[in-house]
Amino acid sequence: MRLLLLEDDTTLGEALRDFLSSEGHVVDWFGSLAEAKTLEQEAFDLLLVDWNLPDGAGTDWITSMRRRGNTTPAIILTARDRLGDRIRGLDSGADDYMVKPFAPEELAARVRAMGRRLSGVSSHLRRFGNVDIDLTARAIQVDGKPVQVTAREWALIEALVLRSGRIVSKSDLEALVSGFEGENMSNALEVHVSHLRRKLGKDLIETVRGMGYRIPA
Amino acid sequence: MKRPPSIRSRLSTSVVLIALVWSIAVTAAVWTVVRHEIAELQDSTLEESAQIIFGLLSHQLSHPAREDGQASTMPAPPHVEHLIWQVVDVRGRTILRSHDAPERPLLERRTPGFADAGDAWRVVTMEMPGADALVLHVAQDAEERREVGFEAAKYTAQFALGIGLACVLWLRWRLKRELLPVAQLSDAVRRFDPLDPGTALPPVTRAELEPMHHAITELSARLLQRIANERAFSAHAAHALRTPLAGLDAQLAVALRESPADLRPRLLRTRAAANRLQRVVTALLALFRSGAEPDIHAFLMRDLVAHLTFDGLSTTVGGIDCIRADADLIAAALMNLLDNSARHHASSAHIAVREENGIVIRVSDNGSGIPRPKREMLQQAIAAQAYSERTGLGLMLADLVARAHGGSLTICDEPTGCTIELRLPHGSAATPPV
Repeated sequence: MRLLLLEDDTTLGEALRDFLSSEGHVVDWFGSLAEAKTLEQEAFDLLLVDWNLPDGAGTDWITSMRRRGNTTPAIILTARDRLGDRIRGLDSGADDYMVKPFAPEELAARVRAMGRRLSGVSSHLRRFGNVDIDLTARAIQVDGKPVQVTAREWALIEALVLRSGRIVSKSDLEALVSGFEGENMSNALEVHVSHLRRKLGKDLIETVRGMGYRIPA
Repeated sequence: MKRPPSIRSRLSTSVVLIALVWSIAVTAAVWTVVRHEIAELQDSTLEESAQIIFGLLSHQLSHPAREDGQASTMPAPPHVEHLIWQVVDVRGRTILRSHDAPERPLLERRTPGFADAGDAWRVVTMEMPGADALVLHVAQDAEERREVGFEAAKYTAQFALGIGLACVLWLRWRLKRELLPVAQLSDAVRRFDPLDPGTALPPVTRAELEPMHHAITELSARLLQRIANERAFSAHAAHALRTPLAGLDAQLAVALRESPADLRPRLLRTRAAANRLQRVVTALLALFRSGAEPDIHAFLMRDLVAHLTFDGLSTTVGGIDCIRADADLIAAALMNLLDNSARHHASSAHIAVREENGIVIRVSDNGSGIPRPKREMLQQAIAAQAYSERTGLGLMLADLVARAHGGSLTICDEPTGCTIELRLPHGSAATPPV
């Protein structure tokens, strides 16, 4: 999943970025609203937003995005633990609320749950023909045999699985791939898709010409 | 505890007693004075009457006494005689008398002045001029005199007593009226909550109450400021402490994934210590909140306990699942109690919730427990809120949470493990959301 993390505390932001990246997500981490606003047109799967940011309230930003029609799911990360704060946070347009300190494992689990909700399927186990994908364990089997994929390849397959039956634009997938460090090839997306087709079978990922890629529902 | 006496009843009793004593004393004084004055007045009237009779009789006394020795008697007047009189010669014979006067002399003595002839008459004696040495006794009916004196004194005393009693009633009414502002202020203070603008103290209507009103208002303003400061501090402290703690845990989680296998046990211990630090900080932040009004709402105990996980401790929940209480405070209390269980070698803990004058949350574990002497010492310290290092942060916080719900904490006497009950009278069972 492509995640936007808004957290001004360097220690926490860096650790969450690394932890979620190790979970196979692509994380864009920013410390202020001003930086995040430059990426509002980018397609993110999930927003992780701190309430108190140096240049404003993360909840206000979520509300303003909702008013503009942006429905990207959002989880608020905050030190505010009062009931009233939780209600205000969720009423601002957020989909979930986590009180600091929290275990990053729990955040990762909530991110996965949000991903499943995004795909419209509650189970973390998905089957496409002879390919079984476990979104929680980040494991893939073809004909019952495990297949190893790289972090970039997992990010791509996860993005397509979570939107199975729908076209995922090339630009969105490119943004996902480019989020990984050291990824600067112009045809990186095609290369990774090609690798995935070789590992999972050439029919799993369908190319929709001029638009993007799709996994059948 | 015995209720102290009320100012109103003490003042009322004093006023009634003083007024009654005063009324009785005044009545007695009036009685005595009036009777004395009436008697003097009657004596004076008697004397003056005697003078008149004396003058009128002067010419008639030239007539000698009758030959038969009987006194000459005046003809009967057309009215009742209130005064009788006798003229007595030196041998003690009555030579002249009024119609109702007795034949026998009223007095043996002939000394001029006032005297009583038994209980029947009040007599004034006058010596008449001349060689015959006659005396004049003029007498007034003693019964009639007493009756007049009694009647005069009675009516005056009744009037004085009536005024006294009326004063008592009036004083009691005034007392009640004057103490009403005190009662109103007392009632307003009882309902007064500095955090609730709807319960502001009304203005006082008596000058004497102004200092008290001013002091309470000033105290509540200082309290409000203190609470605002504590809340601000709590909010700042929450942010300043929670975020670095989250960062610490997340960094350790990443380090655990990236570190070589031989470093992981050390990192795991470090992370466990960081988690304990998180619980302590959360408890301290909850302590700030425990002094404020609890935020009562319905929640599921199972959901709440599901977030309270400790390595090596399995926790189960039974009894009523959906309750109304302050979920954050209950979570903080349970987190600390379960932390105590884990640190005292418990492998399992059971949380049972029942209804009993509100809600009772019972936390039992199979740990090493607390020896009886120490348990009794802890229970006494908690009951007296004499928290110290011995009570520990966990028990202190759990007790404060129970107190925030109007209740208390009890360390139960169980043969094994440790069992603690949180009694929450302000809590209640609730209907689970559909």
